[in-house]
Amino acid sequence: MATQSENTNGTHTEPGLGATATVVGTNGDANGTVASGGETTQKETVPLKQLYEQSTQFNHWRYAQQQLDDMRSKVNQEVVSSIRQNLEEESDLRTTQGLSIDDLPQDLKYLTVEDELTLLGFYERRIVKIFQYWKLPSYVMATAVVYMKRFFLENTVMDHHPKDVMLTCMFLARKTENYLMSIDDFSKVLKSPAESILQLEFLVCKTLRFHFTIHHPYRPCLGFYFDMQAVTENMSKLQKVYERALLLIDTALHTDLCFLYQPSQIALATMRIASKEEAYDFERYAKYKFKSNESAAQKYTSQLLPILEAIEKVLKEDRRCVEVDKLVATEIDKRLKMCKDPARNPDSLLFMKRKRGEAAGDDDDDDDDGNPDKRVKLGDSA
Amino acid sequence: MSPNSFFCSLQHPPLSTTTPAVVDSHQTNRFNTFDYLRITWTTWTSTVIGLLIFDIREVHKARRKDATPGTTGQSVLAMKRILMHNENEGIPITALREIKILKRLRHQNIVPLQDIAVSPGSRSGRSRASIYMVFPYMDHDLSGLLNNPKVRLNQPQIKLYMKQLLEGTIYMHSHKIIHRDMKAANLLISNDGTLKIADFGLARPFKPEGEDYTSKVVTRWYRPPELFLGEKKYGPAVDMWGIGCVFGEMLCGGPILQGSSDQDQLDKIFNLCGSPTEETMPGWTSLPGLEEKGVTYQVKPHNRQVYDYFLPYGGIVGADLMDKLLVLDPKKRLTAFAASDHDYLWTEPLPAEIGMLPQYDPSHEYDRQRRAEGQQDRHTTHRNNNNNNSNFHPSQPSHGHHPSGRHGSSLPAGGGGGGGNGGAAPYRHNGGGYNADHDRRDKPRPHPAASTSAAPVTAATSYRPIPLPPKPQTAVVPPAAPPVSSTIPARRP
Repeated sequence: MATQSENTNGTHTEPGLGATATVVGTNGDANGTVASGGETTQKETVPLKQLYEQSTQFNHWRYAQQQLDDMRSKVNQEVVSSIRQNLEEESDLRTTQGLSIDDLPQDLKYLTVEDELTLLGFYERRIVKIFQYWKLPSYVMATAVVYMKRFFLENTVMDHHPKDVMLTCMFLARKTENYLMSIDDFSKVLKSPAESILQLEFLVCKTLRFHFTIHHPYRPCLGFYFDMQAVTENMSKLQKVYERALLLIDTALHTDLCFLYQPSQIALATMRIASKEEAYDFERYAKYKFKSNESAAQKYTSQLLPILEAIEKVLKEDRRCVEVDKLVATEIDKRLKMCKDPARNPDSLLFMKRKRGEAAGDDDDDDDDGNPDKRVKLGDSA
Repeated sequence: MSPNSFFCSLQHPPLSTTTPAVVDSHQTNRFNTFDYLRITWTTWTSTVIGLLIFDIREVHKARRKDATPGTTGQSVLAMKRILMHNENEGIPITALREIKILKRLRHQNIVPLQDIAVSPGSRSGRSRASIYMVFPYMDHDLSGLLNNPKVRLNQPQIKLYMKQLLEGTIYMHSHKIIHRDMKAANLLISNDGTLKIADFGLARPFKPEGEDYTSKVVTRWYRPPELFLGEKKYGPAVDMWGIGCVFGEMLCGGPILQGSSDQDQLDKIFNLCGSPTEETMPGWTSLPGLEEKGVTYQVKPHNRQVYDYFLPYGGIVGADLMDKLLVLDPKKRLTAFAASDHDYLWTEPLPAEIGMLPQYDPSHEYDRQRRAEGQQDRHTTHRNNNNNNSNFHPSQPSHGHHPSGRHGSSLPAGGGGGGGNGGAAPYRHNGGGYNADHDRRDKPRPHPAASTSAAPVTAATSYRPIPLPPKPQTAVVPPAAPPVSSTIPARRP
């Protein structure tokens, strides 16, 4: 998998030592974190950082849990208040025109962040299932899932239904990971219209900030597997550990771990958990790899081990590791349908009013800046 | 043949019909339109920043409207529009690949993708949304530079460009990327002599174990023979053929293999490199073969004469490098790393240094077209660069260090070893305008075996030669993606 080779270079050889010290939670200036031992000559424009630290994933998509929570609740609140306001406006409009407001929803139960995440978890597993059907390498599937996760960091399901976004992300991931499927086949297989898939593509790309390379724990995990063979006595057991770890990585995909930790850290943590479950001697490898001398051993215990334990905790306790019940998802989906913003419903008076306003003002080939409600559409009326 | 008619007679490499239109951005451009476009800047801020656009086709020279005056150097940009030529499929996979690859590669000899700009289509649907890749504006591309009548490349300069080209390629190949459109027009050159590989519109990641890729890539004049014969399992060697062609182009002053059709191109390749045999190109008979208009291509017998042909242009070491790059068997073709280790780059005259090169007027592929249209302008603008050039060449006989060069024969391909000169004649006319120029050629020495002895330095004092760093003992790159950034500086002084 050539597309992922960058991943392994920088990460699996020395996963715990250089890089981890600066990782957790800091989303700040990445240029300050030159790996120890990397010589930086003045002429050289490529400083000898660890390769992973040069990746967009490290520099742009790394958050602390608190940041993630804040972002999500902020987006959620903004949309809820905007819908609420638009509903009022719509009912005002109807009253002035003497139309009934009975069909407008009253006392809406807006989706909470929790609801949104549950719904997303449901559709993430749909992605996994479809990609299993296609029998593609797991990193392609994981890329699609991460695209969707990133998209819904800045958008809510109340604006864009996760089913549509899911399809677009899948289509996009197939393209970026070089498993192209023509849009005709794609829409035929998934029984969805091609237009809606393509319509969102531009917006998804933009939200992803055109960062298409995603690093997954699969490759580093393979690296650890090879590495551990050097010190193992029981190859068949190690094989089992590896297979178990891959399953755990699949589970980890549904949590926030991909925003919080490096792929190699997640991979090592899953190997550790899998070793425990299979009663395999992980410490022997840790001793060989991380405890060669005093300072390394201390670094391992003080820096790497807490990360591994934190990942383990997430994998054991996060409710998103559990399959989403279809009934729960359906219930949320029903409420979601009610929460439709009248400003985006072509039948509403508000929509027509705004459209008239735009048609008068919009003759330039570009949308107005400063408007937070600006939405880019690709090929909308063509 | 006068220089003027030489330039006019140059045809641009025709685009193969199967090559996607994304490939050649500079070719179809002309600076003829002034237009203002407002474009949203997406990556970090979402404020609207206007851009001054000089062109309306595929690559725009642009300037950030909010740029502070006085810093024009950094604020001049080139914007490459992503063509939505196949809108049914959404954003083209080639564009996604290009963005993904460019975001990942960061090297001083690969064009940096600074930003992505999007211009959302109008709500009325009158204009469609489009995506632009934003690069720093570079003054020249190599093809334009070679066609610029004011520009003469000398050996240290050629070596500097080759060195950078190879370093960029090493980096790219060890990141498991093949460019698949290596050619002079895709090599951007700034006025200080920095070379950057551009246009990754056909690039893709490759797997060492070999997969089937389309053989319909690479502009014809730079396409390796195995692709004409339909090879689908190829790797970085396809780029190395292109680099060989570019190197030859720099030595001779014009494209070396200008086939007018796929068949003609293959004829020219075999004419120069000898016809394929099981020895020179193992397994070539089992390839699908070239079929044009229903006629299967027949190979005519030729002898190999790469070395003899390039001897007058590149000297013994240069001809040897050419000989090792233009190899029919992709497995025996030099790798980028091996080529960067070749004596050519490590013997006198050494590569020039960045910043010590003459400054030229901007020259791109499309500037040549403009020049062809308005030739009367040329003489009036000539003065500019004469000064610079004379500063740059205080000591004209820059090859005086070749002990036998001064009194040696200046006949092209006349002296030296190896027979079989006859077939080289058809190529010679390409360089007609240049051949009389002493600056561009090493004279052949009577005996090629003498090349291995170190040449005493007697001239070329105008360059501060880069001291030859000790060569690394192991000249082998581990095949599995080494941390590149650490291998390259090892060779840098």
